[in-house]
Amino acid sequence: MTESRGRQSADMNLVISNLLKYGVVISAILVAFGVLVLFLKTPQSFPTTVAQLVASNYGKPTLNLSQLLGEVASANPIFVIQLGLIVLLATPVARVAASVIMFAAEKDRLYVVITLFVLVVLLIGLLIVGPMEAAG
Amino acid sequence: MTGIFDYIVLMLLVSAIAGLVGALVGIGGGILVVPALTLLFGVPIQYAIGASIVSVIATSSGSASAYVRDHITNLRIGMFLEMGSSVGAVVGAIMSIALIRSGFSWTVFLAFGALLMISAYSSAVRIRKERKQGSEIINQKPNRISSRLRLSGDYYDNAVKAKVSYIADRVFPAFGVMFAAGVLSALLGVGGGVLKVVGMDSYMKLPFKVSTTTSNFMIGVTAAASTTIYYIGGFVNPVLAAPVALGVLAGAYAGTKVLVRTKPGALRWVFVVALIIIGIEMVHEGLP
Repeated sequence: MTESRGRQSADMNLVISNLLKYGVVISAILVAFGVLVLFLKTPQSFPTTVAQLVASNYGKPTLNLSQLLGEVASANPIFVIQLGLIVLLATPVARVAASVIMFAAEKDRLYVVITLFVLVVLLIGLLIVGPMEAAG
Repeated sequence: MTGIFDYIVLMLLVSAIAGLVGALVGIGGGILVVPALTLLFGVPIQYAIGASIVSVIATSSGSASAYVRDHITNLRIGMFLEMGSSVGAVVGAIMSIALIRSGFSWTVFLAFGALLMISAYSSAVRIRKERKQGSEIINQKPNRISSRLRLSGDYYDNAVKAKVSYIADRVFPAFGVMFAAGVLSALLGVGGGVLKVVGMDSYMKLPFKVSTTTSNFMIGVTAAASTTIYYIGGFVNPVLAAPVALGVLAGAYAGTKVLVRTKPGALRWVFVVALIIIGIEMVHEGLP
């Protein structure tokens, strides 16, 4: 019994570790590619200093997914980087969601409740409190 | 006037150091990234915090991938304590505007600053005790809560060449510290890793590497709770954040290789220095 529980837990470690690894690798590839394109084919209107960058419209995030993907498809470096950052910022959320499933597979009811609680709080922060605070 | 490409190269380097230190002592590197952005490059504070959140999550996901695989991070302890830190993060986000409006945010900074200074002192005392004893002070006495929640484990330490087993002590106070860490994280846009390590180290009496790697695992979730505030606000600027993400990931990867080869006592010294620096930053922020 303890033997099998130990083995299942090892699987869980591997799944979570891989999920984080792939999230990080995909994100790093996108960001690095974006920086490279920006470096090789700098757009003409691109700000030259950090102060200009902050004052300009460059890097205003889009919440429109189809616009984002369209820009990424045409290799717009700013949006490729942005997609990479979104993948990175999403890894912790994906990790918590995967943990709920993994604990459920282990039939560990107590920890399903615990991780589900964390996921719900996280989503409240992301989807309700965040937009509210950003608006206010 | 720093040019964009000079910025990218310089920030890659700074971020690599932040990621390395962060992966070694369980923090997110925000303490290095934020002052570098604001002081060296004149980046407005909200944009610096936006980049700092990227730094925290990159340190967390980049290092935890290795630490979870190697069974140094304790998943159950991390998940359990995340309940406290995630609630703290949401409460902190709601509090932050009210606090700033009422002009009482300085009290929070001073309180956290004092707490970190005290922790630095008690951590230094513990280094001396551990040196006398010749090994880490780790709780191995079972207690009801940690048995019920299965907050115990073991890992093989490559530097000491021994299997280290542990049982979490004083779970409730540690849980309270995690709540405070969540609040701190939301107020400052960091992961609150420094307080998470203090909670697991001082109260739960876990092996130092378990405390730092479990903190690394947790800080990403805590920081993620406040990402939309800064993202929707437009403060996660892709060009500013790109070198931070890449540098931190590279640094954190290197950090995971260093941690497994380093003795806990040496890591603890790095942590004490980080505590003092962050404590000074907090007190400085709180003073008029």
